[in-house]
Amino acid sequence: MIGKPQIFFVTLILILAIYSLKWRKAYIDRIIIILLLFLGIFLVVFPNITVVIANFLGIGRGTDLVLYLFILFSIYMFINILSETRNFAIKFTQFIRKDAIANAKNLTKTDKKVKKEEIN
Amino acid sequence: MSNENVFVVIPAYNEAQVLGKVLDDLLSYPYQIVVVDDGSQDNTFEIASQYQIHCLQHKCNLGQGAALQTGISYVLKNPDAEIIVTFDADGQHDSKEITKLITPILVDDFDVVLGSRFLEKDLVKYMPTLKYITLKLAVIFTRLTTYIKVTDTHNGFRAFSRIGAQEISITQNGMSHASQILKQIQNENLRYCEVPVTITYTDYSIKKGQAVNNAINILWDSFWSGFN
Repeated sequence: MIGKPQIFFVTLILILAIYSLKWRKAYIDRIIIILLLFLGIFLVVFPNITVVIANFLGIGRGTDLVLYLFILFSIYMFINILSETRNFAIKFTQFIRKDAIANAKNLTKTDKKVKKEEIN
Repeated sequence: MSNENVFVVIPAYNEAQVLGKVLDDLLSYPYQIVVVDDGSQDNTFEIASQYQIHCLQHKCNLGQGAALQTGISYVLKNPDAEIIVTFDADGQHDSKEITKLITPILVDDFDVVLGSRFLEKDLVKYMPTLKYITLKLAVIFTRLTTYIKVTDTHNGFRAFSRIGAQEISITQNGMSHASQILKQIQNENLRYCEVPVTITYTDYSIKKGQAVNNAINILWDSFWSGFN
């Protein structure tokens, strides 16, 4: 059955996805990753806390909460890497294109005439 | 306008086998020819360099969309360029029909003219069934996602006026550029029309063509591009 916690997490996933694809900012990414790192350490050191938070959110077990967070984190990282790769591909394309246009060989007749005149 | 201001852009990837024949044929017309070698591993670029044309080379393979955009950007640097025609390197298009494609631009001021192999039934020569089904599905998909009403969405034979070419900006490096061009025609409100063209399917072009296995890639690209 779809309960409130499920709706909460699905909404969170959608917000993260839209953020990653639309409004992504490098410094916000870094803040999110650092927060997630600390959260990870915190949950490893105090595993019992997960049960408390899980109960508060209406999720049965602490492991379920950790699983949800892990799914959230994976999707977030996947989209980030995807969009980073795409940014790189765009820059790479521009680089190759600039090079191709700069080194274009014009071998048409009119060009050859000009060259001959230059030689004479 | 003289025919010298018509530029034919040919993206070519590993087309050494047939490019010479295509260029021989095209050079009997007064158009300017631009070959963009998309980082071929064979001697496509060397063959192109033997002709009196414009030769460009991508230092590595980026995809047909990228090669087209490179050719278009290069041509637009020339202030005399008035019409850009895109033409496949594998010999499946007919150079006689370039006139047919540029006429609507000259006479009726269209921005984009799209070649279609489905406007006249008997123009499809030896088309493989699977390819036919895939292309028809692509047309249905385009009808569902845009207002553009065309009969052939993935035909590499197109003509752009200078204005049309300036408005088009291909960022889909792979085969998804075809849908991207249609989307931009819609978004920029370009005047477009379709003209029937002949596509000759040879064993070579069927081997090179990849519409079928690329259908999934194209769907994937157009899904993600919605977010950009």
